[in-house]
Amino acid sequence: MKSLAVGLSNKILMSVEKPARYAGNEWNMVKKDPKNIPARFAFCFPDVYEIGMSHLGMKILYHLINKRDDTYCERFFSPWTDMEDKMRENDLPLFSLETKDPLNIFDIIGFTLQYEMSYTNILNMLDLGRVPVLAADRGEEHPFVCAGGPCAYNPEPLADFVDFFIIGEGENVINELLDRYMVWRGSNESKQGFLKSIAGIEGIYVPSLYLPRYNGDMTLKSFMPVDSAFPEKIRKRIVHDLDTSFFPEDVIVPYIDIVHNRAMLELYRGCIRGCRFCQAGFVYRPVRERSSGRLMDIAGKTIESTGYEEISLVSLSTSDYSEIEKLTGGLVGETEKNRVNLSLPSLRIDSFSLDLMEKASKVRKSGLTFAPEAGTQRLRNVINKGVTEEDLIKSVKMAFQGGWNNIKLYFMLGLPGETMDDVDGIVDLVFKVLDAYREVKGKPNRRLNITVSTSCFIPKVFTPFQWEVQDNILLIRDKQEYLKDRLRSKYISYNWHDPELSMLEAVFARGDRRTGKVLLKAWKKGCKFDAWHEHFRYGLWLEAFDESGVDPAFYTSRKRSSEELLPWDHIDIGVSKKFLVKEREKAYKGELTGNCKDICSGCGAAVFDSEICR
Amino acid sequence: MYNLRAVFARGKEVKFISHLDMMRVFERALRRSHIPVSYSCGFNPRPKLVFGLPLAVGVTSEGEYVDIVLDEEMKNDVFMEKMNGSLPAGLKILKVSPVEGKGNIMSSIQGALYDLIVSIQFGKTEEYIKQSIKKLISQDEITVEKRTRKKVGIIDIKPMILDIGVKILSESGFKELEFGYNSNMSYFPDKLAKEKYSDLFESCEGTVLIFSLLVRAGSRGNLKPELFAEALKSVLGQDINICEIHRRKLFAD
Repeated sequence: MKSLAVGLSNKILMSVEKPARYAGNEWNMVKKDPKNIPARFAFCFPDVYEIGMSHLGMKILYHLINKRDDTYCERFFSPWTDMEDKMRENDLPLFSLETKDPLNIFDIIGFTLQYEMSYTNILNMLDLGRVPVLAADRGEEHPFVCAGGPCAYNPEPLADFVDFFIIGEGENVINELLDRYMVWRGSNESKQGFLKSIAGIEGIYVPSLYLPRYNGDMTLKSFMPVDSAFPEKIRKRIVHDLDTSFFPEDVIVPYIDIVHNRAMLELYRGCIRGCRFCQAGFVYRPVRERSSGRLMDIAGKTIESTGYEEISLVSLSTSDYSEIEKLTGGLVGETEKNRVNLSLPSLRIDSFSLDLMEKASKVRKSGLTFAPEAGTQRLRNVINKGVTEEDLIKSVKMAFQGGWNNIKLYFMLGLPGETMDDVDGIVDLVFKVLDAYREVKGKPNRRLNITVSTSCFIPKVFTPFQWEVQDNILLIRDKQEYLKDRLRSKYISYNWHDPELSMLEAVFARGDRRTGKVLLKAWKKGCKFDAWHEHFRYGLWLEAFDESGVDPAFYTSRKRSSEELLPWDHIDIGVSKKFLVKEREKAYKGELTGNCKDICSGCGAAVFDSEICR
Repeated sequence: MYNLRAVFARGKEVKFISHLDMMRVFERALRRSHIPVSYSCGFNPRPKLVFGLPLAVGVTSEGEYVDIVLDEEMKNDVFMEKMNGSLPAGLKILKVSPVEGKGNIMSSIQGALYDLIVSIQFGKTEEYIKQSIKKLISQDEITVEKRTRKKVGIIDIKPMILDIGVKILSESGFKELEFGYNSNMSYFPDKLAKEKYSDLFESCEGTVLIFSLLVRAGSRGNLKPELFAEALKSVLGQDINICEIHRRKLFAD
């Protein structure tokens, strides 16, 4: 294929913020001669470089696809608005960082769906890349557009734009898919023929082959494949053995500072806990761990090939990793020798972890984060957050004693069944943390800072709360004001999330195909980078809902019955709907469910036959 | 302890990175190549690296300095070979020598020689361009607006300009516009070849001028070539477009 590299003049690059975002050529970037490669894969992250380059999934798939001799995987990010203006002004299409070739000459375009509020950026990237945004408008000359990642568990809001979705973990399925693609390329089949041929691969969902019907009250009546040849349920794909699965050691090292500017060591996937609001806790089941031996091996090779000054453990909860003591014991020695910092996020604070943090990192004691999520024990039981006030106070006391002055506390507002007593509970708990400081350290010093952050609860698909109501914007605002009035102390700072943004996120988190119309309208009106406060234009979104005849409250403020056919019911994550219903009922009664290591609760993920389920 | 000084080049592949990014690149390259660099003591140990003069975003160079302290002695050519195997494309160590004495490279930088390549709209004659530049540099003061984060000030850049040479690109190649300033710029070896900038001229629309600017640089007065380009606007019009800035050499005392 001939190179059509986009001409980026010095004048353009020198006139935008952080031009290195667009320059590529980083250490470990994969270089191939496109002339000798039959297939080009465009890996698109619908946000800026600094965010996309921090994402582990992208690193894994980029290097995995590039191991193939027949495919060249290149990176695309959303240009920041200053760059987009220049590109549109100068008629430059969206280009890859590797070859600077335009998006529309690629064969397969793959988007990663990390959060709902990046959806407008997907449309914008396609448009900038001169690819029609609607799947129906694309012809044989256009690339395939696919998408995967956590938001793909409810693919419906993007069904009009995406040719096929990859449900679950991409490592195995991507190679199967590319093998099929290579065969199709050599045939005379149409694009539709290819899509039909992959619809049977486990983990692949082709939305155009499925038809939703609605009831008079707008709820879903049926959702069926157009032909019985296609599966009614699409089961997610997972990697069964993390020790033998691919993990990149020669990751790209960016020049500019990015959000997570360090090597990443993925300990395990899934989570044993089952907090009822947490989507990751259900969709990534079952837990699969990497052995400490394999991790040590990856750590050594990664430091060697990247030269990174920091390596971070990655998982949903570091302390739940079975071999944590063995691993960190080994890593501390290795990292010290190479003058590499070891970063230990999401650790439960106890004497072991404080001691470990002391050893692991020579940098200043920056801050420790605790996530009680709710203010009262009653509500913490509702959400199955197995942490007590006693645990928390014990941990913060240890942290204060260990010299930490900066404590962050995360809560959620609007959890199912939350009352003002629970909001009051947040205030109580925060002041108890402050009292704990006085108890162990005496009079607070100037540097003591307790940061309280509240996010707004968003009911997510495949959680026991997928049927629940989201608090309306006014109610959330009231609760935020209530906290602002009461969390007044020079040692406490309070942050809160935009309820408008959370409302929109909730619409798309549980949206059906009709919400895609709203998305298209909002983008046409100029919405993009919605997750960036300075670009979020709520008024335009309301106009888009209005003009599409879609009521956001139908998605956010309606309590669904457990019997309702849900727009994502054709996706099968292994965890059964029956289990989620049972968890919903237990939540109402404030009953806890044990963690996977202690007791199997029969969630259904055992179908994947993982060790923890046996 | 072993102190060495490296001269390195920065090409267009990596010209968009900041000084802070550059330090990280070196730190990581040192780790990749297992060079026993010394670290500072204290809470947050840093590798002992001192750069001569920060190179601005967008500027290429063939004469940057970095002083590096090693825990143990290493042959200069071994150091160079290891580093060049670990530095990304666009960064290359050209020369390594041991550092004598205690001098700090950063405080000893006095001057810099830049190639400033600009384009102006077609239609201005060579003579007009020549006279305009002559007029500019014969002024007693060359004042430009200097914006810092906090304020906009007017400064006189003339005392910071030590010498100027100008070439104009014509169909037959480069042509030196003859006029003297403090001395003759041909004193500096001119390695500029048409091939080197050939891709550049394709993206430059208009008449291309190449200034060789010898200016004060370092902590006791530092002139950025962009400011000189600003001054040019007062005599040649607002349509001046900076195509490329290249640092050829740094001068230490």
